[in-house]
Amino acid sequence: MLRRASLLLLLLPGFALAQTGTFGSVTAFVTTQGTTGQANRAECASTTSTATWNLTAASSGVTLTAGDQWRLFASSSACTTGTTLPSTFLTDVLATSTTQSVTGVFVQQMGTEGGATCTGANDQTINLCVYFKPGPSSVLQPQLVAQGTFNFQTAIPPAPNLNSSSPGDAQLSINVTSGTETATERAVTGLTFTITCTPPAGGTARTATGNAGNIVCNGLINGTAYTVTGVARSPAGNLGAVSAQLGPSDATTPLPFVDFWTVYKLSNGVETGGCGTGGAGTVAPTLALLGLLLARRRRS
Amino acid sequence: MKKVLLALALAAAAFPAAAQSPVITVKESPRWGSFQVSISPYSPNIDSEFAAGSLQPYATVFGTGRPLMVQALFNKSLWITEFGTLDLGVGAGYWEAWGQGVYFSGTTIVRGGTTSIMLIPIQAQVSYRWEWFYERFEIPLEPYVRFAIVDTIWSTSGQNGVSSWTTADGTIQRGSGATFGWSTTLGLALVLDFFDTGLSRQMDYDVGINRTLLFFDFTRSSINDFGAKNSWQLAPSYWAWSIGLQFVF
Repeated sequence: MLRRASLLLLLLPGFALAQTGTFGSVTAFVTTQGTTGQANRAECASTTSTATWNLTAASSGVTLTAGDQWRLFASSSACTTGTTLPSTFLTDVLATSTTQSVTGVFVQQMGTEGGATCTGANDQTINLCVYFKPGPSSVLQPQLVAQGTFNFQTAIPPAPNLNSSSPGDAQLSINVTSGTETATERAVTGLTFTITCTPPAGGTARTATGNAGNIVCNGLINGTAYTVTGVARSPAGNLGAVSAQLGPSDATTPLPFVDFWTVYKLSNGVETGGCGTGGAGTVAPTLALLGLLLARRRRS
Repeated sequence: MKKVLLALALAAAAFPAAAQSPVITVKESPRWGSFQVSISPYSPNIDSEFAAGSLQPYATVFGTGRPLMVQALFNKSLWITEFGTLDLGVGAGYWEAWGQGVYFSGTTIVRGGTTSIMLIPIQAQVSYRWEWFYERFEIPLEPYVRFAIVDTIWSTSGQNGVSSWTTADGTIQRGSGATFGWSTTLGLALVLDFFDTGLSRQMDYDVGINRTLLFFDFTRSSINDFGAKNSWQLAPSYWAWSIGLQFVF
């Protein structure tokens, strides 16, 4: 009698979980990339790229017993509920904890099962589903325990626009904006740009990375006319085409420019910096003292 | 007894109405001082120490534009009479100009990089505002004069932060400091309360602002450490105009 009651108690949470749709969460990231939630075009097509799934099963409902498993499944549609497990799946792994990391899930398989193509010009989001697959000693029903999404960012960013170059002392400040989208290129949110400043043959090229706006190439040789190119990179790591080159010209030639203070001193300006001297040194404290005396007199 | 009850009922009925629609007293609240904000096109006359025809450093780098200076002054009224008010106060402002660095290539000048100069004038001032015209004849104009001792904190910067210059004997002169000076101002304020006395009283009742003034003035100043030989001139070469609002409270 007691055993039956215990079984009923064990079954109740699982039943409630399946009925109410209270599920845990799962995120995935490409192991080599280390960012959560998306893969780039190369990783999508690669037969060796793997992902790590971090799952957190619903806090109530699953009590693990020996031999229980998680079934990992990717889908183009929403994860199905109920007690029927999907027949095709990515992998089954031994369930050791309701909060568990699963490594070695092939990214390409995730895309194929989730219906993503690796050449699309737009982001493709697939659904990640984790099911509880009861072991031989479990009294629970199979059920969906965690769900999440994963993005295949297959869009290639357009070549950036290098709008202008402003030379400085051993540096060039390049104004960069995203290029125009085409049928196969998308200026997705979060693009970063890498600028390469290349001297004439034989010199060492310098690179600098940043967001849209002014990106500064440092460590350049004054008096050398550089050629500047740029390339955009999507958050997932897709590289776009190389931009049209800027220079070599006066605008891409760093020079030892001097600032205003140096121009002033080169012109034999008399100011020496620091705090004021001369009459001011006595006038200011005297005024402060007068003010204090006045305030004290009024108070009394 | 009936009269007492009636009086109490009327008083009770009137109380919520009084709470919702406050009675604004005709008498204005006591005055304490004033606060004002202003803007003014500004260009320091740094080039005044260089002979005409020679390189003018400020104009070469920053051009002839006049970026806006913003200023705020806070005054304590010391002497309030039917003729006017004598104020003593302090104030601070902010101004910055940006330009391009310079490279001398033979006789030609190539520009590049960025450089800037920033001024933060701090001042102690005494001012007198004639309120007689408004108080006596309701002419909404109040002329005023102000004299101030100014300490202008300044800083110049280039590509690598605050500028510095190394002299022939190895002394490093940083491009920052503070320069003292004075300024005198002549101005005229338009009393905005004149145009809506009801709103004016409401402001006094709500937040204690007795009077709101729109002012326009001209300032002549000299900020060169009172003529010290190793100081530059940070004041403009002209009577600088400014416009702003003053709140008397």
